[in-house]
Amino acid sequence: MVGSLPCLGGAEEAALLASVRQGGEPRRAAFAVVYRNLREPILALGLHLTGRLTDAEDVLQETFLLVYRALPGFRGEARLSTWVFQIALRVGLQLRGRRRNHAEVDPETPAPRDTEAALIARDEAARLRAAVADLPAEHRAVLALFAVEGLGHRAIAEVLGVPEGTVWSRLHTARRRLGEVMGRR
Amino acid sequence: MPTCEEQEIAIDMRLHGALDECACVALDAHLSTCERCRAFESAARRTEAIMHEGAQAAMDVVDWGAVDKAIAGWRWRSVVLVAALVAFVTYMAFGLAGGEFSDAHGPTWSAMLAALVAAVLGADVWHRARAFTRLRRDADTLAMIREDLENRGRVLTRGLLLFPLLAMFFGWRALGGDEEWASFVPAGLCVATTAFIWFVKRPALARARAALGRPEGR
Repeated sequence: MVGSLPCLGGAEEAALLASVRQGGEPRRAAFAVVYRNLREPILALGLHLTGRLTDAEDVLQETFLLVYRALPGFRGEARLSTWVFQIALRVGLQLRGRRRNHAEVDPETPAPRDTEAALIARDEAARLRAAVADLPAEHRAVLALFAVEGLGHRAIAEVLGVPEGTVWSRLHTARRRLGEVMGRR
Repeated sequence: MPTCEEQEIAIDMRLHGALDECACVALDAHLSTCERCRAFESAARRTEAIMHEGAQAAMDVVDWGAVDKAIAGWRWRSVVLVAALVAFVTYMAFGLAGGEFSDAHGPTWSAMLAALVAAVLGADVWHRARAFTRLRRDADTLAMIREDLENRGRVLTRGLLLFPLLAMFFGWRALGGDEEWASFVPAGLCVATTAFIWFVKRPALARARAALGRPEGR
């Protein structure tokens, strides 16, 4: 299942962080566990934020590069997955700033596989990705996070650093704005 | 009586399993009479479905072997790039300013300036990495991103004041005395750094701001 968030329990996270602090091979092994558990949801988040598979791969790579470097300094103030998602969100939202020419839709990004009406679905998916890309960061972020399967609203509130009520109101505003943008296209 | 807007929020909550049974019954009662809310629910479900299907299709074509390899390579690439940049700047400064062209002060000025440029670029890289991985609880992540961009903008503005002034200083020394090569190199370095900030860093920052959009409610 796409992006279904494999949970690292509290004890498992504590053991991983202890391994990270040992450095050397235990650190690399702990990083590998974090990477294996979160690479798919982070790629999905990158795809929803950027609308392009190639950019999503860049988000994934840069996120885990930063995680690898900063992991020894992580003191467990929040869930490890929350922290990794926060980093991915920052990377994904700022990636477009580093692109000189940002094509709206990546031809490499596959369309949903509706066998009956593949062309219509492809067009609809492309319009949706482009519309999401046009939204302000707050709305893009909340839509993208909710589209990552397995990431509940409490976790999303932690990633965004806002109360749960704000998450719902942002999601509602994002849907309204998305409807307006889709209507204009 | 809840408004349509409140019911739309309830629709999202139900889509994500956060609505209790009693509220679900009330929502269904409202949906049976409100066409606008039914359209909202339909659009929300369709959006979620398209995004999930798109992600699923993407997962199927990702070459995980290549991605994993690239991540392993990246860990070293950035370190090598920074080291290469520092080595290049230092070599250029010493190589051009030293030898038969320079007087006793030349290499010192050049080395100091090369170190300054390397420090500014290194600090930028370090600050960015730190800003991205800093964890502040109960602080709006999006507001923090905007704050970081503002801080970077201020640093760039100061760089745009500092480096042209330094360029003018060294340019004046190069034109005015017999140590022109020793001053020409640092002046060139300052001009190059100014151009780098003006033509590369500032537009990238402007793009990053534009990509974020305005804060909610403005």
